[in-house]
Amino acid sequence: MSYTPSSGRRTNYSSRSMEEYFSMDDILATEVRIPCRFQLPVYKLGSLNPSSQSPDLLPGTKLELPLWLAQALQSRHIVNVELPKSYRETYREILSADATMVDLHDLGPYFYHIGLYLLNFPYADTEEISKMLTQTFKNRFRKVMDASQHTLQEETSSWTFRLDMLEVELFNIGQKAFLEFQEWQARKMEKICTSGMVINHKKRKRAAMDNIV
Amino acid sequence: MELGVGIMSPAEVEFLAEKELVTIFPNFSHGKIYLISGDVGPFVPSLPVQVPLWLAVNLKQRQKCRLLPLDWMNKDVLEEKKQEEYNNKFFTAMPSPHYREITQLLMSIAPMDIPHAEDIQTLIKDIWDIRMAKLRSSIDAFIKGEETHAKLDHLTLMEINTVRPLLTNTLNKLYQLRQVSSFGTSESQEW
Amino acid sequence: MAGDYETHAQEEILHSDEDETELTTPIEVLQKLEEAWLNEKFAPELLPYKGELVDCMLDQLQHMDQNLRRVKPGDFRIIIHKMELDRIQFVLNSYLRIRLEKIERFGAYLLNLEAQEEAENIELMSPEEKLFAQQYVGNIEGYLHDTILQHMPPNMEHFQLASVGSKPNLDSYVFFKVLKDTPSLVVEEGASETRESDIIDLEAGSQHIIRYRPVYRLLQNGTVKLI
Repeated sequence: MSYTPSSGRRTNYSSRSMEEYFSMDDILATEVRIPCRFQLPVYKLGSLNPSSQSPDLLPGTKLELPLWLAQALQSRHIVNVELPKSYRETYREILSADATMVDLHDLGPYFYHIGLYLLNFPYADTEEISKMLTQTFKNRFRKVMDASQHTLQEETSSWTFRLDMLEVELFNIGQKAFLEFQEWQARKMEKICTSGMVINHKKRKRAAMDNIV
Repeated sequence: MELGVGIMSPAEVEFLAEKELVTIFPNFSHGKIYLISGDVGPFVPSLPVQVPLWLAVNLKQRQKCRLLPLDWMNKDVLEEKKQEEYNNKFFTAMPSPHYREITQLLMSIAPMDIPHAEDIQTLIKDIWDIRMAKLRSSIDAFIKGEETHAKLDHLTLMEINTVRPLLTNTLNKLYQLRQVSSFGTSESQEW
Repeated sequence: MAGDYETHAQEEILHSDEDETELTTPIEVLQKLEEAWLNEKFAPELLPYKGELVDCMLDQLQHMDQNLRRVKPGDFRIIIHKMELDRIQFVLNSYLRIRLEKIERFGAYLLNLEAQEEAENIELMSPEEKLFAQQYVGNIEGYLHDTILQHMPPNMEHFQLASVGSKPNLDSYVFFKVLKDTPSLVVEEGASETRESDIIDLEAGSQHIIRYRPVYRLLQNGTVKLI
């Protein structure tokens, strides 16, 4: 399971569980770029900053860095991590107005995942961010649950594109349990079905034979 | 069918349900059979005898018995139950903790032994739907509230199992959110 | 009409628990095994190995199997006994497979824990499981070394699965049923000024959903069972 929660807060890489260490979702999520402002100079890496000619990265430079790098640099006080705009007050207000209408895939798609990491940085409005994350999740949950308890229809599939990855994972989990139950009801579980691959292989073979004749 | 950690398939729930005792009327004779899980028999033609459901199913499939419908597999009883469940805000106690599985099994192998089988099947399904809708609302209220635990006395295992993965994973995530937020700002550690 | 051989189950099983001798019927053993199976299935951590139950059940199965061989083939009872044996076999297999899955998930952590548990005289894994854990962890570390790590600069070459800190999540939510009355269980410590500790009473027969951590001791002493 790729989305197994850790047993504690996620502060850094060395305290994570194996499932998180090897977790695809975490690797992908921590690639997301976060705005950072350099506090100390970093020599000879000036080329990372496209808007300056300097051979070094000067203090005050603003760059977007992947979260995993930002975290490491922040702990050494080389940069100050700034709050990405989707977590700032404007967006928090939009989410508190009607969380279910927002396209979290667009804002994310790892909105909650990144949000949890961000809570470890010393922002002024950490408490509001954490409240927002929890409230948004709770408000959107009903729709995720209800959708997962029905077989996939047109409207549902277009709506699932606007879900954050965590919500997609939960939706899939709910769907799977629901479909398993449906199958049990229809007693399909007792029969061993021919694998689709075998059926297709037979069709192709027959087609090939027909061509020869 | 997954046999994994933290997961139970509907078939496994049914496996547990098959331990329930039901009454059959055998059409054969045999002495007592000493099973590990308890003695069954002796079997005397047309005399009622109690056996576990898994055995009853097998005997029925081999046409060696007739099944006695359980006392709650009755149109009037179930109509009343359905009304009761509909009117009650909370979950009512079901006549059997395995009502869904038992009904499904008996209907598939012995509908001829159950009067008004189709009606009964419909009523059971209606009761199930009412309870599942209630369950979804309860879950939503639980998630939105501040509670950290819930009591679910009259829920049956099949009902619990259908929502198990979604509910436990969601609660796990919410707990994680609570933990991180209650620590407030923290020092990032060296790596 | 029955054949010369009665296919009896062993009536009683004597098993000694250190200085105590306990009589347990086959039905009780089966019931306890099923409970152990479900507990293992739903617990996020690896529970202590129920060696006595497993061995006892295997004895029962062997005994029954031997009896069946002596009965005339085609005897009516054979199918019925075989069905029951299949059912019991399923529970046993599932119990063992679930444990193996957990060992695969956090084997390195369990091996470290084993040293601790031994001091407290609790058997966490069976000898076979211990061997499996060692070999499994060794295989993965060896594989990673051969494919990637040996090509890394020297100070990055060392990698141990144990260091990645894989641990079971004891804060996962579980469903359970109460077997014995238990008052005043602390569910969650008061974490801040706005949250007081949640304390609940558990009545026998009731069903709940809670985090695993507050109830794992109750699970180990048989006050609750997972469902």
